Amino acid sequence: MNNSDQIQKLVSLKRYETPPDGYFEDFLEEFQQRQRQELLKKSSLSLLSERVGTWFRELGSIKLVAGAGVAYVTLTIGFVVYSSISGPEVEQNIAPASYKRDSAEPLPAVDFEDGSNFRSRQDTKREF
Amino acid sequence: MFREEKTDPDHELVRRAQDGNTRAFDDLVVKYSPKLYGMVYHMTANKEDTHDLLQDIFAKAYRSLKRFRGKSTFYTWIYSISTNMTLNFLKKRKRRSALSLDNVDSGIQNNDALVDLGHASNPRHQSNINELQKKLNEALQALSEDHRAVVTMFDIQGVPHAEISRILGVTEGTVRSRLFYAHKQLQGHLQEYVR
Amino acid sequence: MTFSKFCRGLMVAAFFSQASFARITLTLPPEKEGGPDSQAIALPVDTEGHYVTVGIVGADASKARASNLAFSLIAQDPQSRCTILKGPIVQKFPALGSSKKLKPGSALYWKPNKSGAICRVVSWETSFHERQLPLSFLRVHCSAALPKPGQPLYNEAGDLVAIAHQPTPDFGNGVYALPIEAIKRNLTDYRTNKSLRRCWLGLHLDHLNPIPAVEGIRPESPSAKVGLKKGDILISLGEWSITTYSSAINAFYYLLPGQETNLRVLRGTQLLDLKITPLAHPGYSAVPKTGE
Repeated sequence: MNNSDQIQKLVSLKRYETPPDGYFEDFLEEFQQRQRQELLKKSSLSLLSERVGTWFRELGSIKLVAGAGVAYVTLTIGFVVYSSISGPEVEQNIAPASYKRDSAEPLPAVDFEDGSNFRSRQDTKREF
Repeated sequence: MFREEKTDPDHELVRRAQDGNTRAFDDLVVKYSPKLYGMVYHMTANKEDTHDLLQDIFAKAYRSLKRFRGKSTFYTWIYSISTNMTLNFLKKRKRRSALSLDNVDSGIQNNDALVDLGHASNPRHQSNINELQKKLNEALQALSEDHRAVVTMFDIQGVPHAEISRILGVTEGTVRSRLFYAHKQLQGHLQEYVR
Repeated sequence: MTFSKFCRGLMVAAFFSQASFARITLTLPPEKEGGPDSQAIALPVDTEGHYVTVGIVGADASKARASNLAFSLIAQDPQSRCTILKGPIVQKFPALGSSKKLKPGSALYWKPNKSGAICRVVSWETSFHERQLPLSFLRVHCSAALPKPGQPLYNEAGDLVAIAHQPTPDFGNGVYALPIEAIKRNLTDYRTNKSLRRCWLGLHLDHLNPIPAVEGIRPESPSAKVGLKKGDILISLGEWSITTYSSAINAFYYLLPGQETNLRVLRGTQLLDLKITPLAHPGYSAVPKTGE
């Protein structure tokens, strides 16, 4: 067996590193809880009522109150647009600032729905 | 490029989930969370980060599900999301952790997968499982994210070259050369275990 | 004037008297203790004591010095590693030329009078280890010793067209070089805004699409304001022609926040000229604590 094969064999041992028993059951429960919370924050009332209907059908006894008011969709990257005249508050730091989530004013969502470019993928787009 | 005619074993579940059936999506979570957990954990080497990231991955997959057109299997699609989010997370983690100039994204960097082959290897030749596990983790973390990704996918998770190339958006040749290079790097770290 | 200041003045004058343009070799200590020092070249760019160099991975540019002369770090662009320092004031500095005409085979020299080492342009590079670079760099082959980071490179006409960056790790005896337009861009940004900032347009491209077509527009962004639409193909931005995703990335690098720029797009068969004003990207600024 050559060195490369041995390395592969060694590295493949890592597939036996698994989380403890019960982890994935708890994981699913947490995921379901998060989804319920996220539903309450969704931007569109019609989406909310559609999903609420589904939840009623699926979960029976859990009652969800149809939310009051419209909330902005939380973006994966949220940042505030600064006016070009005043400019951002420059953090006095040699290192570049990190992207910061801004909970006050998220940017409006981008509509990518367009079947015309079949080469395009959601996860390969970048914003400039 | 043309639509691929693939039989997706999850076709029915995905269709129901796209129609709003959350139980169907739950089944997909149960089915694929172990595999995706492995992928994220081997890349990040941190259980807390893995847990949070995996929650985010499924949340994103759920939000994007309506846009999934079946051009690939669902597994490839969610695996791809998982890889991209993990790689992005690792880049941001690097940005936060140091003030030095080289820890930035999209810049020319010295190859951080360079292995110091003069590194003194462990004089003990007898090692227990914990020692090996630690060494394996260190060796993997010493690779650049791109090299770690191909090793995780191919060597640990058994994903074929063609699939890796589709997920990462690179050619199969690139996948093979990254694997070759990564194995060379790993050899340096794991010399004492390779007879 | 005290005696020590007089001596220092003499030292500075002596230091700079030899070259027609000052070209200082900086020593940069390592960021982590115990590592080796690095060397880079600092190029004066005006009569106010500003110098430009290229940051070195692992070296601390904030502690750069040359003999007994201290330099202070003013600003650093992490994407190009273009680094602006403040140092002794000089009266002579080279005019900044243009790299636009450089192509494979173009000769580059370490001195404006074509003496000294010769280098040759190999190519314009847009990626490094399959990762997209934030701007296009030159790959340059050198005849003997490699130029230090920051070394000015002159064309046949004696114009300063690039500065040496880091060695190319893969093949050939060469270095990457930063086109002089990148230096100009960062100096302009710094002089206007006292910071180096990236821009934001609010348009989306897909790196898998070889054609630079707009895939999405962020509402209320500069792109939305000028009426850019999904499907528009980018043709040129400012002085930069756009033919691919990589050339679009390169063109975006040279944008300045708040500065109106010409954007030409193809919509169907219609050519449109739009005037777009990018905004500063708030997640990105690089000014040190001890700025001017």
